Amino acid sequence: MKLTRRDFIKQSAAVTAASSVGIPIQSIASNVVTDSSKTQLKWSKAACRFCGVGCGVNVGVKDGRVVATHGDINAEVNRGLNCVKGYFLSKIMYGKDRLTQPMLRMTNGKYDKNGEFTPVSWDAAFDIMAQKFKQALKEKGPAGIGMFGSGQWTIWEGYAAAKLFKAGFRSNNIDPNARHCMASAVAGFMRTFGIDEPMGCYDDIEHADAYVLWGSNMAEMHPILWTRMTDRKLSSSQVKMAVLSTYEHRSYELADLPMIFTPQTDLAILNYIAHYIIKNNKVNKDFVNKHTRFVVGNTEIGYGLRPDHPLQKAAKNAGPDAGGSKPSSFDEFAKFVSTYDADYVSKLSGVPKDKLQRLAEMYADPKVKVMSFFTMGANQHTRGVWVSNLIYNIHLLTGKISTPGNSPFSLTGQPSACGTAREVGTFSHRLPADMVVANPKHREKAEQIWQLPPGTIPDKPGLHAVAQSRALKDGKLNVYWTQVTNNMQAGPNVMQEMLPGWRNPNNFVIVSDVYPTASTMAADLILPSAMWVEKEGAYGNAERRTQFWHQLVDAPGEARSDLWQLVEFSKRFKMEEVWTKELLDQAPQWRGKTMYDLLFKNGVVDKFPASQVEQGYENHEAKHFGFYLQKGLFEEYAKFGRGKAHDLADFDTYHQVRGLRWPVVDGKETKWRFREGVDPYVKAGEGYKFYGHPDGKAVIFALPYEAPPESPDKDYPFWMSTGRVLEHWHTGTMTRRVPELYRAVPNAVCYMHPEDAKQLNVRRGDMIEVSSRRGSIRTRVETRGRNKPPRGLVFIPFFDASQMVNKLILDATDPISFQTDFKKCPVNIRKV
Amino acid sequence: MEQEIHIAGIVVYTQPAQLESIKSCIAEVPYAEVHAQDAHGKLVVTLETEGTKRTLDTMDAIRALPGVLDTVLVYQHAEPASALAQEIL
Repeated sequence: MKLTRRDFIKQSAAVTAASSVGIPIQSIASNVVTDSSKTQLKWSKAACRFCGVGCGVNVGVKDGRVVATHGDINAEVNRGLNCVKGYFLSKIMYGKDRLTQPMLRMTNGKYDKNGEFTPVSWDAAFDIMAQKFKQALKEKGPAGIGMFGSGQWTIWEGYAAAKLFKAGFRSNNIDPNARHCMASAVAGFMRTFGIDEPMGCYDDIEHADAYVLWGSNMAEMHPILWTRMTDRKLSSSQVKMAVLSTYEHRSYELADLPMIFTPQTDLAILNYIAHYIIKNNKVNKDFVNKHTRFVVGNTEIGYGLRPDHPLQKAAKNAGPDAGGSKPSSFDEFAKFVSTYDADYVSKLSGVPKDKLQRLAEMYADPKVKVMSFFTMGANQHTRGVWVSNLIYNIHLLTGKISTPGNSPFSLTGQPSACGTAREVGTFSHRLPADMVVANPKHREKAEQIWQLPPGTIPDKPGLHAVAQSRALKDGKLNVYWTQVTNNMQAGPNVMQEMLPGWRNPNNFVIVSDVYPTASTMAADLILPSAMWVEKEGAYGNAERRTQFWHQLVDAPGEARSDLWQLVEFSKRFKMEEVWTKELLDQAPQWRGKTMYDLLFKNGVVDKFPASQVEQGYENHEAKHFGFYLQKGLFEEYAKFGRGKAHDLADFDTYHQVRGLRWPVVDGKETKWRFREGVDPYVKAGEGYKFYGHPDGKAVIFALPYEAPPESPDKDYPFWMSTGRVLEHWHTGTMTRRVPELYRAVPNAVCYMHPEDAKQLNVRRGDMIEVSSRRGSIRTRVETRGRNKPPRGLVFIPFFDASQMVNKLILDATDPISFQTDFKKCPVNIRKV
Repeated sequence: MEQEIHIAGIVVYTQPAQLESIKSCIAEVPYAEVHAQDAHGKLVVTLETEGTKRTLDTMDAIRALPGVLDTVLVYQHAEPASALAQEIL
């Protein structure tokens, strides 16, 4: 019998698929599929690089190239399954237009802001970068430089960037793109619990009796979790699902209780549920008395616009008091929410009263275990922090929290929004392990771990994402480095607030990425990055799970990891060029040294030799720098969280296991936080303890419905919402590289209700102009398809670089989290 | 560029009552082959196509069959045809 590799691989595909769902399969190849001499594949584990679910995958490499992937049967997250995005894992690195060498805008061999992109060496690229950084530091000090990073950075990349800026350059002007996706969730956690990230985990899915989706399209955005929910729902008849959004999407297919609400009225619906629970005596009084306290949050907090905007001037608590609150009581809270009765909320939200009541009853019934999921619909909201707080309110009032199946669950979009952007402290106000730059004790701890003299870390938060754009435009920020993110497309109000800053003649903008994007095109210097398994990496998913992988293939051409770029660049600065004389007097041992010596080759980060890299795997950084850089950075970083309820296991463990959920204490992960018996930080007899706050209590907030900054009117009669579609993850930087897929969904479309189309006298496929107060784009009408908006609302996905939908959006933010609202913008539509 | 072959292993979730009719439908789909099934209505299917789009379209087509609840990717592989034609036994 003759067999080809194709036969084996097909058998292998069948056997792998069968074993992932526990079906025994007879196979001619079952004894040889694992024999790598036959398939010529070397399999290694990795975490998927596409979304925040954090699936484990096995990656097959042949002749230095990734040719196959499959869901990892040993990964608890996905148990062998993979979603359709996984199909692109092996293709994503091999697009034809991969960036493979640094490119600088030049004329006649010299840097010129208006010149053409010209290939240069890494040396030349770092020369001009260093020159521009030094000039800005000289003229404006640390305030003149900034960095924009990503929830797609690996853990050590985000950590190295934060350290380079906060300890080295002494600038807090570093912020991640997670500001646009997760900042509201972070602030929500900090306000209610005093510690970031969900208390529960994905295991809750198999225990819950009800799922409630608040502004989350999990069927498309988190397919593996959706599969687990589908499995649970089909096997247990009592399991119900409620889906709330401003338009109908694919998750409605499984909904028992589908609801469409008018944008912004989720605030009122959540207060109605609290009111219902209280009115019907369904409050878990023992839990509420022991483990919660009540406050009244400040109101009229504005919309995070420029201070001279009329809406900001009119707001009573715009500015630093936006997040303020004062103590209150259960009785005052009950009175406050009592105005949110069914009549008022039904009228405001457009959701029928009987549906509101059925939803409230899910939460109120003590026998029903409820999981609330929320993502961008809740976060990208001018009251996103409030939405988080109000969701926690109803879980706290009923005590439905921290137990299997009872779980308010904030989902993430990016693979390491939690593990990197949030946990290592890449936000402009944060330090690792939930610490903040404004707290002197936190700075002291960071300075001690980083071996810095006291007073090195600046005590004020730096510029957040939107403030960075404004400061670039205003000429206050002059050198700006962006890594692994495409803000020029994903950010808000592109034409008025962003592009002018990037093209400001006084500014120098560097973009590190893997493919050309709207951002690389708007930059002055492009640096080619290595991606995913082209480097050793680590991500942290939405259930606090930290996962590692090895470098499995080489990056193409001269592409280098973001980590290499950060560390190599630090060699260009003598300490005298970045620190004041006063500071160096306190630490004279750093005189004449470089930032590289201070931050990385300092006896701590460089203490693990390159020989400790696991045999059989390359590590470009270890080879180049001469020590195991990733291990040194991780072990230093882990010092921040150990003993502080953010404990991580040791570095080597993560290369063996399929991830662990922190806190990891005595080798054991934590599935549910804040509850005795399962969280090592809760002592015997305490029952529950919300130890993020000094009094051990979670906070229940009285917060009202407040209107959005702009609502439809005569000139702009439609709501427009934007977001992702499954096939084009994020801004499409990567998924749009796959040509077959590009042809399948070539351009974004405008989803609208057929009756609205009729009224506008347009038909499916017609070209239309969509305009807001800030600009206009052209796109085509789609009246069918998976997204079905109600009358008066249209949805345009944001992946398409030829239709920059985000230039329509006002750069209004949540005033507490500074996260932009991408979900509601009044527009006008006309036929072209 | 040389023609690639794409091989995928997928699981199809069906209403058990309609399993047999779904199986016969999949048998009619070019490039698709049913390898195994279980009592809960799960089918193990492989697809062999010349590209990503064809694979995804086929998955969508199977997803659209009456009684199919979901199709889930488990395994994907893409290599030049010549590399896969190599004999190993």
